[in-house]
Amino acid sequence: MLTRKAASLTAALLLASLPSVARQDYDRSRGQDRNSAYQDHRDNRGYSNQQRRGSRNFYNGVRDGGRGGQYYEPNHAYDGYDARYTEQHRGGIGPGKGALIGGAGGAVLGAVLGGGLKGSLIGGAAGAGIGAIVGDAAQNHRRDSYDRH
Amino acid sequence: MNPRLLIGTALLATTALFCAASPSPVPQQQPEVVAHPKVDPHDKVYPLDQIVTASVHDAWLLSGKNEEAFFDIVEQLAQLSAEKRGLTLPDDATAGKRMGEMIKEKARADHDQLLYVVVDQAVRAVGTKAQK
Repeated sequence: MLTRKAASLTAALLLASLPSVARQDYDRSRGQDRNSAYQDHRDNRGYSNQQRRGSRNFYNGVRDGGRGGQYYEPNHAYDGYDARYTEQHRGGIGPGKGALIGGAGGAVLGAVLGGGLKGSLIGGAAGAGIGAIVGDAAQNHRRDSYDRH
Repeated sequence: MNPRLLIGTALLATTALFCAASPSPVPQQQPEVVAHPKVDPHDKVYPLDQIVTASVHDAWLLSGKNEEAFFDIVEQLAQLSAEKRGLTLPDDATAGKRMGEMIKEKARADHDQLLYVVVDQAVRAVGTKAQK
């Protein structure tokens, strides 16, 4: 009886954590669509709907003219800007990865503390849910701090 | 009732409640990013939403501090700017060199300004109105 209750709660928990995982899938697939759009444009050399702006000749000249420039702000080497920027563009942990890490950790803890398969299942499910929430919160925090800078 | 099971159930219920309370994943409408044709097949293509918002310094970091990659970004921005302004860029290396020098000079003056602004000014200086 209790096992059945725990199983139904586990199922409910997994269902509840699906939206954040689904959102990450949505973001990822959106990114892939975008990348494939670039690919399509890159491979389609017909330029049917867009006029080419500038020739190879012209852009070689641009590279020649711009060579040896100073494009780096030396002050940012010491104010933590570079590290922040790099971190923001690295991606970090999102809800999907958080769920995986939390699930694995929860399963191990559940097995140790709860004993056996049942504890492992419950711990894994709880860990996945918490991991998804924490991963989502971390992602939002990164977006917020990026917007602020 | 087994206390361990009780704690586990309480933990599950709490987590489920937090999950249910978290904001629903309504996909936000974002502006479509249009890619632009490249001039050279070996050029790297960067997401426009990333490079349009990049300062000179950011773009340098994005390029991996590599001049060739940095000018791949410049090229993309120049194509965007020319297209937006309805300008044609000349098929002339000398004009290109002039534009490169302009970019170098303006970028050096302020590394925290948007690279797009720098490129846009240079495009306006060398571009000619496209014929319809």
